[in-house]
Amino acid sequence: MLRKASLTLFLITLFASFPTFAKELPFYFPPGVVSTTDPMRQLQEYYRYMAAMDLCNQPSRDRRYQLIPGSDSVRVVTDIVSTSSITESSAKLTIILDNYVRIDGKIRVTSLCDQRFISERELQVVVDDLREQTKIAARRNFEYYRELTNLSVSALAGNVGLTSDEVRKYLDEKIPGYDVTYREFWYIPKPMRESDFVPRELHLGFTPSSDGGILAATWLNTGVIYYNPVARVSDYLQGIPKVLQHEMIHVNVNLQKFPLNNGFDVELSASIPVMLYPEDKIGFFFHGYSSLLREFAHTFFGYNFEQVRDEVVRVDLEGNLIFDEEKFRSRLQELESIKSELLVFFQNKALPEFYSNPVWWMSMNQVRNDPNSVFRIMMANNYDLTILGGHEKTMLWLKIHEPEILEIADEAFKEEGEQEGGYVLDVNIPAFLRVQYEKVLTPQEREELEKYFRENPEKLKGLVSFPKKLVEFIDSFVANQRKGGAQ
Amino acid sequence: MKTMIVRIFLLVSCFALLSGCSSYQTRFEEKAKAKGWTEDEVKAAIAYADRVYFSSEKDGKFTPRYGMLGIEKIREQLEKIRSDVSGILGYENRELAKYIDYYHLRSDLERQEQIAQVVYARVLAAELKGQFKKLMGLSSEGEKFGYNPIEILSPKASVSANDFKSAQIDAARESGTLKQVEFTSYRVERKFDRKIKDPDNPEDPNAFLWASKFVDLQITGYKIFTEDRPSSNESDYIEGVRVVDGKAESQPALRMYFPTSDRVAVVVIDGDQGNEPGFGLPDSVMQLHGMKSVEDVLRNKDILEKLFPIRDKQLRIPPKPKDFRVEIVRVGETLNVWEEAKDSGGWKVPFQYRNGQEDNYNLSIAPEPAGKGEDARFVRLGYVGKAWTGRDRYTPSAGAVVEYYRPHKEFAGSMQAIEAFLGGDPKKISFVFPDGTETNGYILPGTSKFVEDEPFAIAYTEGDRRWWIEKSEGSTVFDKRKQVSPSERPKHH
Repeated sequence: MLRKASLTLFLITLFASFPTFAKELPFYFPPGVVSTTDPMRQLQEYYRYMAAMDLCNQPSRDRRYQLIPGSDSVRVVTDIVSTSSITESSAKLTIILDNYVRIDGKIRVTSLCDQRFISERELQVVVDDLREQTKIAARRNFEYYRELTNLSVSALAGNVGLTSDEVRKYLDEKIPGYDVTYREFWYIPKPMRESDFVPRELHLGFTPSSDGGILAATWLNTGVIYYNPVARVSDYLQGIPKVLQHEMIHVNVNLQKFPLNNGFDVELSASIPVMLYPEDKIGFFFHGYSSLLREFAHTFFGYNFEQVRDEVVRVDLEGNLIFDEEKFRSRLQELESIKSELLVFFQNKALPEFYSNPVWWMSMNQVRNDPNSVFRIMMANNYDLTILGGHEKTMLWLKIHEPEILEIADEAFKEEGEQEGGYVLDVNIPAFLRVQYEKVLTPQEREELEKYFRENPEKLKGLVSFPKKLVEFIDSFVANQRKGGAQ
Repeated sequence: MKTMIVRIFLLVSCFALLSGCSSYQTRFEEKAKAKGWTEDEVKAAIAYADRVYFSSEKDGKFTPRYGMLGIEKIREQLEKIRSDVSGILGYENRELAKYIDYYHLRSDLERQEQIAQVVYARVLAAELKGQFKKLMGLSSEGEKFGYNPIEILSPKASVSANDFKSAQIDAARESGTLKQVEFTSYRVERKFDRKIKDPDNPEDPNAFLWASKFVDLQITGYKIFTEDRPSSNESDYIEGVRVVDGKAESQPALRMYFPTSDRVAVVVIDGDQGNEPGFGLPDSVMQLHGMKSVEDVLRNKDILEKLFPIRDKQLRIPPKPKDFRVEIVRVGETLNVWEEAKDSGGWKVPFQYRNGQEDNYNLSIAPEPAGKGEDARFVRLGYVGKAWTGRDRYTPSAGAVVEYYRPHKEFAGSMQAIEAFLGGDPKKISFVFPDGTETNGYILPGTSKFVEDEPFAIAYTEGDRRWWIEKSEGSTVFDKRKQVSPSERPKHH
């Protein structure tokens, strides 16, 4: 069994590594970068590349910058059509190399740690690479989402007492008396096009004033993506442009758009399909955005991540993690069937259900204070549970306790709205912010800040309208806390 | 993989984190743990509840129970969407406004607002339909009105204005027994109705603009006639129609029914105007006591506010493009604050303030210290003011006009004392010369021995501004003017 699994892994690795010999890599790639689908190698190399590239490509809390990309930045207008944005409904993808400037026939490149010249040929490699990755990412996203509209229409039809054909007939008709179509009224996505995933502007650059750790950023509704060189290398490692694909789901106004983005977990949604692809071995297992997927894998399919983590990390020597590599490979392989099951589940069931009635699901999310109600409920409606020692045992225990479960659910659901006090902003927290907030501030700083705002809700209310002031306030609040601590 | 969406949007969202509100999941966990279940059992129970509590089964398939969510929850969500959009379409948050305009997002956001408003109108109407049925006594005991996708989303069977009508009134109208018995109209046009934030200075609490108000409403009372001489003069149905640009809207904005004999009114209000999404569907259903006539409607502030709500859109005023000029003024140099007259007639006080006899004034003086080298106790007179009065000598004239006259040479020198209002007479003035001799007299209309015939400056108030008009040396007209504070007086020379 073990022998067979290892052989398969080897073959996948060999296949995925093959293209690396075929073409030249951009100059900013660290020497010796590989592309692999071997889970252990992918994880090892990922950490190495992060360590190698972090200083020159990522700011940090104590090392923030401001840059002014402008008219001197190298811009290349491509022939790839972009229909992703509100800003310009049909545009051509423009690749913008923010801090690449032409000087005396050479191209000067500025990073967060140095400045150097590159040749026209090296520049061409960078541009060609980005162009190609964008096309691949758009194609992969399109393949996954191409049937979403049809499936959403079918889901809606059942709920409004119409056939799918009837719903389709109505979609682009205006509601009598209104200048609004039924498609808009139902919030049904338009039929998907590959160009809907293509950004209007793809910047190879940084998010210099952030606290670091941001591989890419999408500015909603505008068609603008910032793609960090580290992200490109990470995508190369896994053999698919997964970070870019993720951003290109955010950028598609047919899928994610203000104001609807405030009502559901846009980060988890944009992580599907990429974290479920067989090429990406580590996203599902490690990334913060996929925590719900791990919960599903455990509760419904019996995959125990805590146990696997405990098994595979043998010892931690001050940041040097000694792994049981064979165990890791075999445990990760077991995850593949779950990923492939979820890939289809989200494509055919969960996402169409959400997009068939997003306002209702956003309301449910609000009531449950959970941005992922649709995914949880659809999982429960499609899979039996196995977490308590297998399917039979689990379902038997649940059947026995069903009356109590119903009673608890009813009580917990009806207690909605009772808050613990303090000022409550009526918004869901995007996963990105949750991760950032927890990463940037220490638990003690968070506690002090939350305590302060609970006691001074009006202060918070006044500040939220002026984000710059809010950030300044938090910076000075935390600085004072630290100063106080030092004294 | 960390992803930043619009940072400014996210920053707003971030601080929900600080509120500490609990989720359904957390509450479930706490209750389940209290039963002594293990962590895995709790996880299983939560997931299972998503099926057995939140969904229903048919032919072995589970589907979400859409009806379990109260319709008011959907309405609240739509209110949130509308408020999110409206919040960023305003110009108070400069950073957001710049983002929206730089990326040309405004018209699409306005479209999103319009769409949300259409959905909201439908959802709210479905919610109010239940309320209306209850108040009209048309629903059965315990009848629940949850979210019904067919009612709200289906093009075939959706809630409409017809759901808010009274069969009794409709029947009377059809049979011709419903007749008009009273009518009133109400029209207000006020230019300065209320203060709103100044978009150029959104953070300054004292900066404001005036918002205007325009309302035009026709209210008609109808009675069902079953006999020629009814025993009461109270209407059985009252209807209000907004008038926009001189035309009555096609559907009533106010419907008032009296379903019970105790005359408790059921009031249905549509706050959306004919050009707004939601027109024709109610925004409010309520019960009111003491509504006897069309005049009672006008006395009810709540009804009027609901009929003419202030829209967020009305408050979206883009800030004016700002410009500035560079000025370097070294201390000691003066700036020209004067505005030259536009014609040879010069500036004039633009209204009448003198009476027929031109004697409605009090004298006003402000003696100044004598010049250098003179006795420090001495004073001299720079000007004599005629402060014009209105209905009596204690009330200022319209525009609180004050004319300033220069004294003749003999009264412009150093004096031991100068006093006006002598003996309480507002036109009497006295001078005590350095040698102790005293002269007093009156400054009456016409030529005076004390002051020149014509004023050299006049101060007056027009609207919110106080103006100062003055003659330049050698000029016979007031050739320049400046804006001054209400307490401005001529400068001492």
